[in-house]
Amino acid sequence: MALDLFGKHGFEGTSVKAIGQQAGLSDGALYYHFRSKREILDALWDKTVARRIGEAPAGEPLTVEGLLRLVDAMLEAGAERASQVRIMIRQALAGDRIAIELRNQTTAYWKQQFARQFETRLPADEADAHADALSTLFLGLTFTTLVDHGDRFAEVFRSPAFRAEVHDLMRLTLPFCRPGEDDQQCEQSFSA
Amino acid sequence: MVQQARTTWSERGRESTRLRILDAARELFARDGVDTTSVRSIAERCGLTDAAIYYYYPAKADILDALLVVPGMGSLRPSEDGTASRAAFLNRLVDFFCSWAENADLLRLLLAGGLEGSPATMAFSTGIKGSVEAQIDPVVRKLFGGEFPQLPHAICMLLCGLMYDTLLACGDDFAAVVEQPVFRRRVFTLLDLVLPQDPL
Repeated sequence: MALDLFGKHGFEGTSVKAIGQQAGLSDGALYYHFRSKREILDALWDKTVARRIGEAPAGEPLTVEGLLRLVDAMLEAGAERASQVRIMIRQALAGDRIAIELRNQTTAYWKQQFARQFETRLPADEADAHADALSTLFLGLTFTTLVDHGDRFAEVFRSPAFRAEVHDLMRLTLPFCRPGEDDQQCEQSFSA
Repeated sequence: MVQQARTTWSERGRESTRLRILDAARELFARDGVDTTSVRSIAERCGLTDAAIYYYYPAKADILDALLVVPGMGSLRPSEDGTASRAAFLNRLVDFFCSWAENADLLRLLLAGGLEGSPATMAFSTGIKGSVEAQIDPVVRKLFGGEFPQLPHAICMLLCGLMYDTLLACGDDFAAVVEQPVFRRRVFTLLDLVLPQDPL
């Protein structure tokens, strides 16, 4: 409910009362569950984005396919939660501390997922650098899509052409890929 | 000689008028958004007439274009004697990126405009990326051969990601953060990972 309203009227333009009316709850009942509008935003973000991405299996050998699956899951999470993503970024840009904090946490979470994969094959500092490169590149691709396509960004996130573009660029940041090699060759040349 | 001196003087005058227009526009665009800012309000801000503004910039979009010129990209071209090296290219990319910090307010605006679906900012964003990639492309070809057709795009997207990440994470402190050595090191490390290694 809250999500629909935030998406339609913006975070600032939505009152707790309006959310309560939509959900069939009194102001009092709503405040019992969430002390502020911010807490509602916090809860929405937390339960969707982080959970949707899922945990990368730790300690399993790193594969190109595994990494790209993680990337696809992130794109899907972004597409599914298009209005939250937009609200979050808008709030963060406007200097909303909670939104900035949540955004930073989400980015840190992605990096951690990538780093865990790289750590199966690389020393920790190199793994962190590769994870940073991968998630920064991902951020560049997705935010640019957000800016260039506005409301249509979720549709673009799901399009096969965009996924192929993301995968191709991601491969350039992987420590074991040379152009023209397929995934299996990549992994072999890395373990060699 | 006199004629020449006069020309130089009036060119300087034009240049300073341009700067006045751009300063006023930068301020208003960042405060009110590109779509809401009128040429008239820019004119009022810098004490010129509408007509004077249109003489320098035929359309509002031209002002936006002029504001977001890509700094320092000329220096990315390999030198005539072909001494361009991976290390030099890498350092120039870092310099180029860090000089973008001046545009933090406008980039924030660009992101906000894109989120609102503003056609002006969307078109601009597409244009600027094309121009950055077109300038990186010949250097990449020269340094790494034709094996990496996606590399200019990857570099551009990586830099965009760094820009947006820093903008969102640091907000108003953006300019100060970008000046710190630790930030420079991060930019360097990330670009270093994406650029192919020199053949041994």
